Amino acid sequence: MISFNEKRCVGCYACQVVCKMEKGFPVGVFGITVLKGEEADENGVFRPVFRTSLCRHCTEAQCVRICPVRAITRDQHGMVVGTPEKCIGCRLCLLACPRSVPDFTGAQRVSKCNGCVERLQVGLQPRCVASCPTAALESVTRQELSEKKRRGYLEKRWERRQGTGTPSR
Amino acid sequence: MAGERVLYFDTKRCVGCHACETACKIENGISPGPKWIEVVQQVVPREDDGWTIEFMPLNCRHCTNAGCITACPAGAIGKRGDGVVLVNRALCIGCGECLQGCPFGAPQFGPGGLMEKCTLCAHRPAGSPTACEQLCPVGAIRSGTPQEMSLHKRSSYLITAIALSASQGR
Amino acid sequence: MKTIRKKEHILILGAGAAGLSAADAIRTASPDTPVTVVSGEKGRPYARMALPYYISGKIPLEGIMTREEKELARQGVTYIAGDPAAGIDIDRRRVVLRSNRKLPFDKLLIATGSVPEYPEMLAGTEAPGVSHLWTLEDARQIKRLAHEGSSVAVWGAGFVSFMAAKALAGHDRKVHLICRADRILRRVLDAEAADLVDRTLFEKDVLCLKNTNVEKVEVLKGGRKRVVLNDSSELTVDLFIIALGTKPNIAFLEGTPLAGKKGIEVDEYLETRIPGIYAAGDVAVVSDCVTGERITPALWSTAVMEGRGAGLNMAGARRRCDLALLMNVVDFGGYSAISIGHPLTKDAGAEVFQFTREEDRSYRRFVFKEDRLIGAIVVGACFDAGFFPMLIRRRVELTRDQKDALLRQPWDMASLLMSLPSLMQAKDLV
Ligand SMILES: Cc1cc2nc3c(=O)[nH]c(=O)nc-3n(C[C@H](O)[C@H](O)[C@H](O)COP(=O)(O)OP(=O)(O)OC[C@H]3O[C@@H](n4cnc5c(N)ncnc54)[C@H](O)[C@@H]3O)c2cc1C
Ligand code: SF4
Ligand code: SF4
Ligand code: SF4
Ligand code: SF4
Repeated sequence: MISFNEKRCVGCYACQVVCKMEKGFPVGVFGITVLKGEEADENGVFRPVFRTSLCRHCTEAQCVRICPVRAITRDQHGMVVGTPEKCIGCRLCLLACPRSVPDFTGAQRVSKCNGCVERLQVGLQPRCVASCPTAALESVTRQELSEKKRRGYLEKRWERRQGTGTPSR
Repeated sequence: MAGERVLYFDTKRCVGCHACETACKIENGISPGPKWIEVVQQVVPREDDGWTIEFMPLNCRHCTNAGCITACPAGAIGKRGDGVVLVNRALCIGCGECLQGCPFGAPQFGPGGLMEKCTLCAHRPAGSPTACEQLCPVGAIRSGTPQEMSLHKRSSYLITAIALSASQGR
Repeated sequence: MKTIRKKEHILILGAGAAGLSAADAIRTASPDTPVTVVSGEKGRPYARMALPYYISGKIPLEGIMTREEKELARQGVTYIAGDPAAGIDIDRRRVVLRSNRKLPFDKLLIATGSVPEYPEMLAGTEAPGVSHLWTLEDARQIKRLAHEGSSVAVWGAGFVSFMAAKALAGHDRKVHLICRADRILRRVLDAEAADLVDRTLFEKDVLCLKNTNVEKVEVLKGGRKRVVLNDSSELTVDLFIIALGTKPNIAFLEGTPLAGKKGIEVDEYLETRIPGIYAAGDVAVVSDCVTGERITPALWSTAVMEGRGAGLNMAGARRRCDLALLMNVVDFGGYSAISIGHPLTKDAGAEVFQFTREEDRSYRRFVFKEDRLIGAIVVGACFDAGFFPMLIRRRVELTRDQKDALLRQPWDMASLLMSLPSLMQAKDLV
């Protein structure tokens, strides 16, 4: 999966731009979308926060299930991919996806993230991941991400303990 | 919240035997891969410039403000009255956002691809110990409400204190 | 001693959205249960709702086919085509097909969809070119007769008539949409949205005759049809398409306790009052997830969901799956109108908010009841439309702040919803 760490995202939109370049999506169509919101910090000051809406290639992908003409399918690499030529533009996939991911070209054909399988196969990272300057995006398996987070938590816990708990020697 | 059960770990006691992981796998019939509880080890420096290994079993913390619940776009995760955070797998679509939202990496994904995680052995009768707690040979895991945990810590402190003063002949 | 459990045989009537979703679900849940699917129509299963796109030429015939026979065989599904069910013998647990073939079942799913209404006044005018748009056969006929420069009349102002008119627009065809009411799609769109859609239809050379009804249709020599309207004007057309609504396809159940007035009544697990017999899709009477009313939504999306749920339940699960969300999309190249839930509710307690953006002909209508969104219309820009169904279906309660924020930023729900704290929580925990 492509993991997004919102703490690292600075809102540069690089992923959004390179994805379009890579896939040749027309104006207004995005494979990954950076969303800007605002959240108050502990002092009540509003700061921008960034989230992404990116395809999760869900196990029980609702888009795949609902498409009447099988224009969204799971390919042999496990990615959920769209086939624009088959799409009728009924937008049921858009309404079924909880993140509103599938986007449409002017001719009402679906265009969505395919996980950059063609790049993964030659050992490259997905284009958005490769372009992220702050490593907010990462390409990892779920089990890897879980391990990373578990270790990361222990490290943070240790640092905290050191910072506050250890008396000066 | 008051009555919520949690798992409490005594990292000083844990010897890293992974018995809890095994107990959990057997109890819940977990397929290879996912670990609802995982003993993570960490090398930490000692005061005498040496180093030592600390173990920490990590499971789901059944958070009060659970990040996984906020993250889940399908509304598949919820908190039960007794505080246990559970996933309804009929609603889960396997998108993995809960794992992103959890600070502890607790949500797991097995071959079926849907989210699964520690349930605090919710299928056992109320008040029973969890499987990991039962099997831990050194008593490093205990389940209970924060009050119970506090009482446990206080009384074990008392026991240590008494033992200490006895050994020093006072 | 080993006991050998008899394998239950599952029979599915209908190879549409609901029937095939059920077959898939049974296959994932229980790989070796014998499954038989019966289709009333000849040939491979196809997607009914894609027919207009086949007519317009957007996709080839192959594109609307939902399964290959090979695939069904690989799934271990026995497929019987062109032999509709004619009756059902509940006591002996078997279905009788039109050919008199008898199929026994342990569990049965009825997913025979709907049939279009045929007005009595048209009795006697059956002829090539007077047609519904419902089956592949209809679509083939329409495609054959709607040659370049032909003229077409579509009777009805609902969803299917709109799709038909849109599919036939262009290629120098003259398309008339005959609409009894003062606007089209009045059940799903409000006046503002319908007006925007109307303008776009007009640009596509579809003439919408409002407040108009058909008095008489005659087949002329040579095969053209004369359509007499209630304002006594006349149209002479090559093709007359009837789309006046549908009803559940349950005629073959007549006389059994299954046939209800609105359709087949089911419980929350989509089981009928007869144990082991389930219904899903257009035939099943389910609950509206907003109002709780018993309805037959007649939608692809609900048919897929119900089919899957019924399939899982037949394979041994117990999953509530009778809550339906109304959801309609009408689209023209690059422009669409989406209606979700109950945007036109008559409920006095509902609050309505409308937003218009002229530059890209976008329009939005949000309807709240108390602190819940219960309906929305999204016309034009719609990249964030996928967020609404969840909000409505899961009956998410918004705080005052959240609601205000939504209304302050009506064109970009995505940014907002993703930065809001937890909106949804599962209530039915397992
Ligand atoms: C032109 C058109 C456009 C549409 N567009 C949309 C849209 O954009 N969005 C949307 O949500 N919905 C749309 N719909 C509605 C949608 O197609 C239906 O709601 C959906 O197909 C219902 O699925 P179902 O499985 O219940 O029935 P169907 O898909 O109709 O399948 C019924 C099946 O039962 C079989 N059958 C019939 N009678 C018998 C019998 N006696 N014995 C055995 N088998 C039988 C049929 O052969 C068929 O295989 C559209 C419909 C039409 C006609
Ligand atoms: S488009 Fe949406 S539903 Fe489909 S796989 Fe991607 S995230 Fe999941
Ligand atoms: S819009 Fe296209 S890809 Fe999406 S469900 Fe409809 S046909 Fe399938
Ligand atoms: S999964 Fe993570 S975020 Fe959710 S309750 Fe458990 S520890 Fe907390
Ligand atoms: S994987 Fe399942 S539980 Fe986790 S966020 Fe996605 S839908 Fe929710």
